[in-house]
Amino acid sequence: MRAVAAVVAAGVVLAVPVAARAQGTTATAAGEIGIRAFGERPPDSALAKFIQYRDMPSGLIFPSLYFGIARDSLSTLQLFGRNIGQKDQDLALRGNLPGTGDIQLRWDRITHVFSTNSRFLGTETSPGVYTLPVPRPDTATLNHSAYVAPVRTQWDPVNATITLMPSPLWDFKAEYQHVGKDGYRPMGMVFGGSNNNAREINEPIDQSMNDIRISQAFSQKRFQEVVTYAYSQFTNALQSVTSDNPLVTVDSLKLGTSRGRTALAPNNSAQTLTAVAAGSLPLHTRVTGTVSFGWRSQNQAFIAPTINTQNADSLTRAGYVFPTSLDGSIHTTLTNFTLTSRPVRLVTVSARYRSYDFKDLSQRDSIPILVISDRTFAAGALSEGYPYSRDNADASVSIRPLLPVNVTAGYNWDQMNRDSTVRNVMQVTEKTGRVSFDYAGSRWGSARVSYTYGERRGNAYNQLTTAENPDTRRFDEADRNHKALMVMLSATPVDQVSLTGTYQVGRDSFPNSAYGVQHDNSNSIGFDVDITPTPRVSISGGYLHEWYDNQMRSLYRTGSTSATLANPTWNWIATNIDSSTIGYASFTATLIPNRLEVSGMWQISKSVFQMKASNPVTPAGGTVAQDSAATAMTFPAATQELQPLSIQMRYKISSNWSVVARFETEHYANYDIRTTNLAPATGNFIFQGNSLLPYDAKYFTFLVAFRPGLIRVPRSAM
Amino acid sequence: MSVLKSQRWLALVLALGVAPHLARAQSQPAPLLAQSQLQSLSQLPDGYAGSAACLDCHKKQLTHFGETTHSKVFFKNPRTALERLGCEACHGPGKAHTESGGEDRGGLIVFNFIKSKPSAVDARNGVCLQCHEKTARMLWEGSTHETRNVACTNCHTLMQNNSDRANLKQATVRETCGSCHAKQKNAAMKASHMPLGENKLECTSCHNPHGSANPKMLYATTINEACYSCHAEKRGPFLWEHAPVVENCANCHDPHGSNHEKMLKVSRPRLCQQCHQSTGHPQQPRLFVTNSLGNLVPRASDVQFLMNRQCSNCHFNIHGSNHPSGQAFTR
Repeated sequence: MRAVAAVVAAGVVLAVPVAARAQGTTATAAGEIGIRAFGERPPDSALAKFIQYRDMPSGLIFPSLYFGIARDSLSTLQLFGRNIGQKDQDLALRGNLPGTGDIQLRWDRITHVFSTNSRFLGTETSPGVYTLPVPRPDTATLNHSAYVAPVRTQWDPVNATITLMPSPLWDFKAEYQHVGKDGYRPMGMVFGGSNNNAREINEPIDQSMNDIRISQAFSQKRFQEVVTYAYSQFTNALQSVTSDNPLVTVDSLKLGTSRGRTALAPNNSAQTLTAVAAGSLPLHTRVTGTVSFGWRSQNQAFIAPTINTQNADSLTRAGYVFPTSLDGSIHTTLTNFTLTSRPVRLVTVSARYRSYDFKDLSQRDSIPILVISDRTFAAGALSEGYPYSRDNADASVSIRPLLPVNVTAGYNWDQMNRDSTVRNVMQVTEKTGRVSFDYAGSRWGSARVSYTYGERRGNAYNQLTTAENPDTRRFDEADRNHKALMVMLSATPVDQVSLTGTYQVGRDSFPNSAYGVQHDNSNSIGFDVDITPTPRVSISGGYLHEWYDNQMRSLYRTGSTSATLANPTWNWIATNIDSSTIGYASFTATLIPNRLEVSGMWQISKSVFQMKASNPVTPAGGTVAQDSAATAMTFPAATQELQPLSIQMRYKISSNWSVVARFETEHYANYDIRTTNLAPATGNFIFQGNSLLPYDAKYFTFLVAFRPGLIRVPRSAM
Repeated sequence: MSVLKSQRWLALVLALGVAPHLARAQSQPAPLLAQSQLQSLSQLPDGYAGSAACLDCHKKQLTHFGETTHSKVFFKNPRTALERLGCEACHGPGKAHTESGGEDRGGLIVFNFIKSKPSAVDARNGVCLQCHEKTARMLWEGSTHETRNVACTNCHTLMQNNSDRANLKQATVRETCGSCHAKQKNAAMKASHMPLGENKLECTSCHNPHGSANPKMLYATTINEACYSCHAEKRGPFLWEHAPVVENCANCHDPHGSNHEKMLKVSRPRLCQQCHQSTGHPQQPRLFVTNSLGNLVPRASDVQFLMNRQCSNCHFNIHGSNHPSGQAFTR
C-alpha cells in the first residue's frame, strides 16, 4: 500500500512543472519521503502503547504530501496528505475561492490498539460467535496459548463539506460524514452470578455512522440568523455476541449455561433542528435566541431473553410474553436567550436564560422475567427512562475601571428536575457566584484570576426501595459546596523571554452525605517558558503537576436484622489519590543561516494513582466472613511513565529542498497490579491476560523534503 | 514482495532524481501585490490613505500577509466596500498616520502592542466582528471569553499563516487553546486520552471558543450530545438505561484525559462504589492478600471485582443494554 502510494505521489510531483506552465495557473507540490529504521523496536507483544493511536512502520514512509493549483493566486484546489498508506493516513482534498465558497473532502483514519499480548483461545465461527472445543481447554492451555493478533479498532471517517457564500449576507453549508468502524475491543461475558465464572472476549466492531448536516445563515449589520438541520444514523451490523462458557459444556436449567449471549449497541437515529438569531439594539445591546429540537429513536428488535436452551424451554412452557422492541423515542428541547449590553463604554452587563428538557417517550413495558447471565431466573422488572429538565439563569457585570483592566462579577442559578419515581432527589438547585480579574494591556505581561463559589442543594430525599441505605447520597444528586480558584500570570520581562504560570484549585465538599462521596479536590500548578536569546535560537520548556484527592465513605451492610445492618464498625473510607506530572523541553537552533537547523524535543508524562482505604474502627461484632467483608485496605499504587525524545537536523539543499535526519527514543514503563502479570485463567475468570508492557524504542528517520512549509492540513474530520 | 520493495526504492529514486529540476521550477518568490489590486485614492472615504500608502513603510508585513486568506479576499476578491479598503479595513483610517510620517497614530487600531499602547480589546474585537459576527461567532458577545476580555488577537494572527488553518497564533488549535488552558492541553498527554496529540481531534471538535448557548461552550446542546457525535452507539435509548449515563457522560469520564482506563475520573471499582453502596456486592471494599509465593493477589472471591476491568468485567453494557435480561448491564 505504502509502495503504491509512493509511486503515485512521485508521479504527482513529476507532473507539477508541466501543470505550472498553464497561463494564469500556478501549480505547487510539496512532500516528504523517507525511511524509518529501528535501532531498537519494542517486541510485538509490547507494542500496544507505542502504536495506541498511530502506525509506526519501518522502511519507506511518506509523512506528508501536498499538491495545489491556484488560479490567479486566488482560487485554489489542494490535495493534502499525511502518513500516506498507513493505518493513520490522513487525506484531504480542498477547493477554495476566498469569500465565495469552499469544498472539502477528508478521509482521516484513526487506529486504536487495545492490546498486543492477548491470549484468547477458540474460534470465531461467524462474526461475533466464539466457540471453544469440547472438552474445554485446561488452565495451563489457557495460560500459555499464543498471543493473538493485536486487538484493534479502526475508524475511517470520511467527511465531505461544501460551503457557499453567494453574497456577504448569505452562507450555506452542507456536510456529510461517514464513519466506518471495524475491528475488535475487549469485553466481558459473564455466565453466572457474581460468584460464578466469566470470560473476556472481544466485541466485534462492524459499525457505521452516517451524518448529514445542512445549515443556512443570513447576516447583516444588525441581524444574523442560522438554521441548522442534522440527521445522524448509527448502524451496527451485529446485534449480539455469543461465546461458549469455558467451564460448562451442557446447558442446565438455572444451574449453568454452555453459552452466553450479550446484546450489542442497537441501531438508532437522531435528528436536530436548531435556529439561532441575534440582533443588535441601541446602547450597544445585543440579544440572541436559540431554539433547538431533538428527536432520537431506536426500535431494534430484542434478541431472545436467553440462549440457554433449558431456560428458554422453561420460559416457553410458562408462557411468558416479552416485548419485541423498545420503540424508543427521546425528545429534547432547548431554549436559550442572551442579552448583552454596554450602556456606557466601560460597563458590560449580560444576562442569560437557558432551559433544556429531556423527555423519554419510549414504550417502556415490563419485562416479565429476567434470565441473569443466561443462568438463573429473577423477578421481572419495568424498564425505566430517566427524563429530566434543566433550567439555568446567569447574570454578570463587567467593569473596566481602566482600559486594560476588566473585573467581572456573576451569579448563576441552575436547577435540575428529575422524575421522583426513579431518582432519589427530584429537584437540585445550585447557586454560584463568581468574580474574575483580567489584566491584559501591557507588553510586560497579563494576569487572569477567577474565583467561584457555589452551593448545590436538593429537596427532600426520596428513598426508592427499602434496600437502599437512606443516608447515602449519590454524588450527582447530593448537596455540594464548590470552590474554585484559577490564577494565570504571564510575563515578558524582555522581548526574548516569555513566562506563564498557572495555579488552579478546586474544592468540592458534600456536607450532607453521611455516606457517598465526601470530598473531591483538585490542584494543579505549572509554568511555561519561551526564550529566544538570539533570532537563531529558541528554547521552550514547561511543567505541570496535578494532584487529585477524592474521598468517599461507605457502610458494609448485610444480614436481615437491624443490628447487623447498623453495625458501625463496618464503616470504611476510601480515598483515591491521583497525581500526574508532565514536563517538556524543546529547542531550535539555526547553526548555518538558511542551511542547517537543529531541533530537539523531550517530554515526560508520569502518573501515579492509589486507591487508599481503611476502617475508622476495626470491623467486629459480626461473623468472621462479615467482618472480613467489611475490612478495607490500601491497594498498591499504579504507575505509568512515558518519555519521548527526539533530535532532528534539517539541512537545506536549496530554497525548496531539504534533508532531515531525526533520531527518536521512547521509554514507557507501567505497573498496575490489576493487569501486570495477570494470568488468563485466574480462578473462575478467564481473562485475555493482556497488559500494557513496558518498552524502549529507538528509531531513525531520514527524510527528503520538498517545500514542507506548504503542507497545512485542514481541520480534523471528527 | 520483492516487487513491492523495488517499487518503494524506485519511488524514492524518482523523487530524489527530479529534485534539482523541481528546485528550479518552484523557487520563485511570492509576488507582492500589484498596484492595480489596490483601491484608487479617489474611491476612499475621508481620513483613509489607501493601502498603497501603507506599503510605503510596511512592505515587510505584506510579504507574509500576501499568502493569507484575508489578503486574497481584500486585494483580489473584495465583495464589500469595507473589504475594498484593504489594510484600513482592519487597521482603520490611516491618513493622519501617513501624513505625520508615522508619528501620529490617528484613528488607527493597534493590535500588536510591542511598541505602542494597544487599542482597547472591545475596539480590536469590533474590527473583526464587522465581518465575522455570524455563523459560529454569533454568540461571541456575552460568551465566557468575551466577558473575560479576551481579544480575537489573543488566539488569531492575521498578518501571516502560523497555523494549518484559521489564522491561529500557534501552530495548532491545541497549542493555541493550551496557552491559557494548560491543564486541558496537558491532559492529552496523560495515560488515558483521546487522540489529540495525534491530530485526530481538536479542541474545536467539541468546543466553540467563540461562544455557544450550551455548557462548556460546546457546539452540541449537551455534553452527551457532543460525545454521541463520535460515539453514536451510546446514544440509545436503551431498554435498560443507566441514569448517570443518560444525564451526563462527564459524571464518570474526563474527556480531556485521566490516569485511569477509559478516561474515567476515578478508578474502578471505587468509581462505581461511589453510588452503588447500599446493597449487594458493591458494598465491600475488597482485599488483596499475600499468597504462598509472597505475592500480593486478590482474594479468591475478589478477582472479578479488582482485576482487569473490575466492575466492567461483568457489567460490560454499562452505558445501556437492549437485552431483555440486561437490567444489570451484564447482557
